[in-house]
Amino acid sequence: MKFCKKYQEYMQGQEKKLPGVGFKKLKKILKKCRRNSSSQKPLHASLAAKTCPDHCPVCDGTFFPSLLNEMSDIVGCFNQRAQKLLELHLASGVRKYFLWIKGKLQGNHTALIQEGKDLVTYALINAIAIRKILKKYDKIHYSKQGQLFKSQIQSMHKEILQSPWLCELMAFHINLRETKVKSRKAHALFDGCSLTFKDGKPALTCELFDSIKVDIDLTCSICLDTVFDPVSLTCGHIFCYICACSAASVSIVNGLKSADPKMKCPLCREGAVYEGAVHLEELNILLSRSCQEYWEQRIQTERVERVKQIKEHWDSQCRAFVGV
Amino acid sequence: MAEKHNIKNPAVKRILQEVKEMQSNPSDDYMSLPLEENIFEWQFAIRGPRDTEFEGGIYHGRIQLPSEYPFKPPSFMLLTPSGRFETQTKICLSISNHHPEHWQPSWSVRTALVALIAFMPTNPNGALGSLNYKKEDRCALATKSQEAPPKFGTPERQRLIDEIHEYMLSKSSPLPQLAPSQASEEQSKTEEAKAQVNLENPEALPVGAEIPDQAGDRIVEEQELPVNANPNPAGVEASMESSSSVSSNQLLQKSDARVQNLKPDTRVQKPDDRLFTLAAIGLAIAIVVLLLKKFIKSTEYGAVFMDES
Repeated sequence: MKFCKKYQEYMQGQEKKLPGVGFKKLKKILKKCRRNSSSQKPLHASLAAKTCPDHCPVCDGTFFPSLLNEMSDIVGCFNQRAQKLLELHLASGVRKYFLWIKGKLQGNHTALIQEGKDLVTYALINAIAIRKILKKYDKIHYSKQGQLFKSQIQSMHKEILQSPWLCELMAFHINLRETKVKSRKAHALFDGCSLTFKDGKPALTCELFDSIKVDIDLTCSICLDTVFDPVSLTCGHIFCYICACSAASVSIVNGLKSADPKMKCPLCREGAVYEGAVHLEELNILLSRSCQEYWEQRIQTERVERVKQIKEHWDSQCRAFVGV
Repeated sequence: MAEKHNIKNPAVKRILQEVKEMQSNPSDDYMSLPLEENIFEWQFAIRGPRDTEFEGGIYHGRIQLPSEYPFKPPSFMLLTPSGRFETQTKICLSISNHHPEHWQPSWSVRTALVALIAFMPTNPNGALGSLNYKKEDRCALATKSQEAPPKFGTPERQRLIDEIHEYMLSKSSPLPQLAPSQASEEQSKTEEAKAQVNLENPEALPVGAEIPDQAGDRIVEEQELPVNANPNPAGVEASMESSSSVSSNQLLQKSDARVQNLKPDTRVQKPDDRLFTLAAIGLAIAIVVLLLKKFIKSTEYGAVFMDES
């Protein structure tokens, strides 16, 4: 079965109307563009050029803007729903008990797990759809405009695989895997997520029906160890909280929100990535259970560092207050 | 007596990780190890890049890592004359402490050495510590560099320099000699192609690949892995002693052990958590009961007061 059909079947199978990639519409635009270019130029000339015309009215005016809007909607919807779902799961205090009682009355625990699974599938299938349509664009135009657009989208943080919530949902799915859920056939597209260790390096792996695999590396590139108290910057790179604070030249007390907007990501050198950093709580739970010995050892060393930084912070505060 | 390292220090921890990584994935093009007495001081040797005037050369140098590593860049100094960099002078590179604004914490000693090899054939453009010798002079220096390692520093450091030099010599592929006959010419071509493949992919060493004995037991120590263990190159360990009451050997074993001691992925609530939850619910109920009692009492008093009036 062609991916286009699979994708449409999946989107129609959704109970709630979710934003998606207008595959048929975009394909029509590309066909129209192909007709236009073939009518304007002889075939050999267009092949010789091997690039999309500088000002292709179809591409500039319709294809990319509509794809950009669709991508924005998809990422927005995914982030919103994922955040809401994880808030329910990670609630604490009185709210936790209130939600627990509410859940018992409504029996929505399994629904919660199923929604998590569906959201991961939704993210991955849309990521593939976007990749496929951009490949088709490049194939038709003999260009690399599609790839260029993809990199621009990444810098705009509209790439769904960049979302920290995807990583959180994958961890959430592993954390609650013991609960057996009768998944609907329409949504049984991915074999599930798993935490794998390749050469001692941890990674979140998720395989989708189309033999497509998503790997999220969980090694902090600053301390070269498994991420501890992980935090995802807005560019999508994951680091230990302490490492991220050190890279941003801020103390743990002040936190990443107080980082200078000029500070860049230690991996991709993108600016202003610290302010919108997300604490990956589910991933933290998963890793703390998967490598307990390491976690306990790391807690000891982190505690020393945190106490030291807090002490320094309050010393400086006292000195400032006294006027020394 | 071996010096102990403070593994609670993030810089020390990171450096020990790099030592482990460097030894588990050795390269034919470079080798680097820290001094036993000071792990912030590294000794390295790089091979001159192929198809350049530096080809065949073995260039030694030292790396000084700052105490804030990896957030601050290291400084580099070459000890072998190359005709490209001055000796015993801190050189100016975009990866060195001369340009801290370019440095990224995700870079390591390995990436720095790869960058240094890539920098060698480039134009110096008057950078600090750079030289611009003629090609012939550089070729002569490259040949000379193989003869003997440079003499520098303490006997401890010199021993390490000699060790690294031996390792680099053992890894250097001899250039094939062209014979007049057609058959031998073809043979030499295939040998050259093989050598090129090896050098183009230096990382493609098998996990159990042995490093010659000349390099000494500091370079790599083979360790048998249990059948069910992860077949990871992290099983290869440093014999350098370190850590606060823990040798770096034990430290590396510890970090490997955590991979093997993986717990299943199911969420099992600890008994402590369950008790805590029950206690919290109990407390909540008790508080509600007390509040209700108080409320009932207060309404009773109110009723009595109203009757009296």
